[in-house]
Amino acid sequence: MADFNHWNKAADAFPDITAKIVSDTATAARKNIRKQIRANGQIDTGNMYNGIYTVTADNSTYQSGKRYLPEVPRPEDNQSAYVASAADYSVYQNYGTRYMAGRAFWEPGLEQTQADFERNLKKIPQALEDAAK
Amino acid sequence: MSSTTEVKMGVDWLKTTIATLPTLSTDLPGGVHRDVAPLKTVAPFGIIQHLSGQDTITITGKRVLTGILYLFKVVGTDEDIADSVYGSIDDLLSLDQVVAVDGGYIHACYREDTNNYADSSVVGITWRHSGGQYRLLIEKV
Repeated sequence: MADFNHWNKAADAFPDITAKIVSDTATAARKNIRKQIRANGQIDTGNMYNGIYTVTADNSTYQSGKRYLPEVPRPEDNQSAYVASAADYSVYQNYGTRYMAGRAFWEPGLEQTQADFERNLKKIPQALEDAAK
Repeated sequence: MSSTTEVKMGVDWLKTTIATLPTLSTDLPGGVHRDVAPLKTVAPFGIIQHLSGQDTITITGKRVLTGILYLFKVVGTDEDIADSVYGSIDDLLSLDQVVAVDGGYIHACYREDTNNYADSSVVGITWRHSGGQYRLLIEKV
């Protein structure tokens, strides 16, 4: 049995495989949101653009900047990740103010990420097969 | 194929549906506007903003539905009033059956998220934005 039953190897690898999907999808979301900011013509100093960051259990792309909110706490495990906008005025750019129309970058960026997520999910069978070798 | 767009069909349906609120003229004296209200609009008023959209297509590339995400919010200087008026309108913005509109059909409307924040774009005045994000499934014919 031990020669051909590699179930334990595959089962052990599964959490790491999904953790990578979580991390890769968060990275894709960050990229897509930034791409939408650029497409909307919302880059002046680059402060809001640079302030789009991801936080996983063991990594963060947060950096300091002007009018930046504090970094969001790390998720409790590697099966979750956060994408956040550090610039405190991002909400006004996205949803508008009394005197300014919003130009949404957040929701379009996240919707584009759905395709990245589905592409990443398709990698699971191959990754399990590799782990079980 | 009609000359309208899915985005406009959705905006029109939202405006028409909001207009059915019996107390609209007193609750929302500034009316409902797209993206931003003109200067000197009486508060509170409503704003509809297109956030994003995705087409559903067949294997042959034919567009069958467009899922569009809109923001609807009540904007005013009184937080309690803005929240209360939005709450009344939110009750109207739920659709689980197909309705015919100019240019096609609206298949569904449901809220995906809440939206509530303050902005101080004028010194000394805080504007409250109270609303939600609504997904409309729209078929253009």
